[in-house]
Amino acid sequence: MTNLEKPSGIQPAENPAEQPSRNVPEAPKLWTPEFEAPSIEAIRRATQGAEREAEDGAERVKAAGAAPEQVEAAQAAGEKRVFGVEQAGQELDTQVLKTKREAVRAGITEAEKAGNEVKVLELEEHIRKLDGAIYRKEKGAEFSQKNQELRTAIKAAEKVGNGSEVLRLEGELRKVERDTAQLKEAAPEKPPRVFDKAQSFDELLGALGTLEGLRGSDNQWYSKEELGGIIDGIRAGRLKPQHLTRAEGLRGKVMELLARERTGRPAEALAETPPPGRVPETPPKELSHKESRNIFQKLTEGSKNLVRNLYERAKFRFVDRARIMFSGALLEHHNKASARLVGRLNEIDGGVQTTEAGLADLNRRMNELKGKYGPLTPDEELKFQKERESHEEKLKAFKKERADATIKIELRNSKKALYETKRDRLCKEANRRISERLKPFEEQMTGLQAVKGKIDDELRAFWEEREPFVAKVKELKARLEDAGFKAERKTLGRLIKEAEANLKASNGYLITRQRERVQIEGRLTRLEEKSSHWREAIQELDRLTGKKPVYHRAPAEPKRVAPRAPEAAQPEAIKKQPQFIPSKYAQAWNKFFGSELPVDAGEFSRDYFHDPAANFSFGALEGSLRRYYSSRAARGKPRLKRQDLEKHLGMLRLFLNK
Amino acid sequence: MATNPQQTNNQVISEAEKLLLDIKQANKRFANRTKSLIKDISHGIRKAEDELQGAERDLEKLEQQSVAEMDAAVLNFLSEE
Repeated sequence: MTNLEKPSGIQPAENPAEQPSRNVPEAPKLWTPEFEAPSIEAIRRATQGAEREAEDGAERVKAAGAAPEQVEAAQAAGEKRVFGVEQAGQELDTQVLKTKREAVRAGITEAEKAGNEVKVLELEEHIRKLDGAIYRKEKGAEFSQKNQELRTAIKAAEKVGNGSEVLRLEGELRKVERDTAQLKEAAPEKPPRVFDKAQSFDELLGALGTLEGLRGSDNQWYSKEELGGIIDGIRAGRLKPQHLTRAEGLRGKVMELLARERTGRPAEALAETPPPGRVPETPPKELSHKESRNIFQKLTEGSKNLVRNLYERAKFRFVDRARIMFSGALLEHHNKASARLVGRLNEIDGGVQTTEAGLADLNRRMNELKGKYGPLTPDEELKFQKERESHEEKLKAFKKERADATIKIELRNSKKALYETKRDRLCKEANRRISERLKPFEEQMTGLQAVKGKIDDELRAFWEEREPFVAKVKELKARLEDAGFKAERKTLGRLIKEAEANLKASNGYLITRQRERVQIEGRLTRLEEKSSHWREAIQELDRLTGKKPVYHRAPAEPKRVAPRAPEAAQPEAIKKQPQFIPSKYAQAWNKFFGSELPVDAGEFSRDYFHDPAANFSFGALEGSLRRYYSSRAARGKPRLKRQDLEKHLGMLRLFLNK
Repeated sequence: MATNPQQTNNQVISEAEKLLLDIKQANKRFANRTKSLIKDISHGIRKAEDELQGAERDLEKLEQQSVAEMDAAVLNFLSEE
């Protein structure tokens, strides 16, 4: 723009370097997407104004009856002004982008200092985009200026009638226009950088040799010799890549070439490998939420290690998270930090006491001196004055530090109180919502357990009802022999046979229902197991928050791996009272199944139990009866089939539990 | 008073008939009652399974949300001011 007239209408753009604070918005500490260039509309308005002015000026010159050359000159001057305004606008825009870039660069430096790699990567992405935009603006301005110059030159060549020059210039103009169009259509994401083409360290060092040096993100100047030395150090493993500046993508290129040189792996893979001795910054995988992962990055190294330990075996569920929230390690961490602050407070108090004692000593010495030798000399006055000032400054510093430490302690304590309140609220709220959502299911399960109880009652009642029928049939069978007449005997025999068949059928009903009950039991158990995760959460949250359970059912029955039909049909009461005397058990067996497998009560008790009068569990008695059956089976052929033995054992258990 | 054998036989047969009837009735009653109970409980279990499935879906969402909040609370507590 130096060879053009200074544009009017957009004053800030005349010399942006001189008035940056007025023209360019003050750069925020960190760049944010809200940081927008305010100049777009101003540029548009200024350009339109300049166009109008140029047209009006040319019209005025024409109306004043000026010569055609003068009109033409006025038009040319107007065009120059319009172009100047456009250029100034572009420059202002570029300046805004560069300011943005500086702000982002400052943000990267801060993030690097804080060790926040995620933020660094995020801001570097912004930088790349801004670089691309700046490149497009600068190139665009360059093309635009060239375009303007060529047009002026073409007009001049046409004036003097130099046809070949006009053709040459028009060719150049077309090329510039093509380049401009290409820049708009396929604008590169980022401008080509000095080291982009380097495919080996030799090429990289060669490219570096063409520069004087580079300015780093911290505004420090690195000469090409220094940079070469750092690159050599990184290649030899003496230095970490972090020692090298990122300017012009130098660090990235070195990483890429190192990866290629050492392992053949892509550069990204190498970048992910932490340097030796450094703890990776990756948060525990259990921290799946983005917000949590971001907070993790802000923690101190000690806190990060604590989090890693806490989350080491934690699963993604209420119980584990609630346990972490109530973990003693968390409070210990807080207490240690508080203790450090309190310790520092004590040190400060000690320092204050010492300083005050020093001041008192100073006064004492001064008074002594005055008492002995009269008024102090100016030198002595000055010496004491300086000493007093030093003590007073120390006192002031101590007091300030004390106030800061006190605020920190208060903040820490209030943070703890807030955390505990939030922790309790979260756990209680979670508990309330789980209980509330699970309540309909729990109520259904309670209802189902009641129906299951009714089935048990029916089974038991039917067994009891059936018992006298069996006895009566036996009695009738005995009386059958005494029946006087053949016809009556025949009728009675038929009735008894029919009654026996019905009793057998009733036995079948019992077995069928027992089987069905076992299946039901299995389904209920599976449901209990499925819901146990949530019930466990409720119980644990209750325990942690010190609340007594308000609404909970009894815990699920223990899982039966392979329940046998008769056992599974047992009501709960059987398990609570599982004891019986062997002789009585044998008698009970004989009462019902003696016809199929008579048990010698004495033999059964004597051979299988050390103390036949002692109580034994049903399991032990049934096991003994199975062995007894096996021994009988070895001796003879019992009428009782093996498969019926288990059914009878189950029925007997059911009956004896009445 | 002595009873004649015919009467005795009739009485025994009558008792046997009554017994048979009682057994049949008991069987029928048991079969019907338990059938109805088994049907009720099977239906109830199916409903409970559906209910639990729905509850699990909701609770998993709640768990996800609560776990994120709990994690954030822990990490914020550990972060320095």
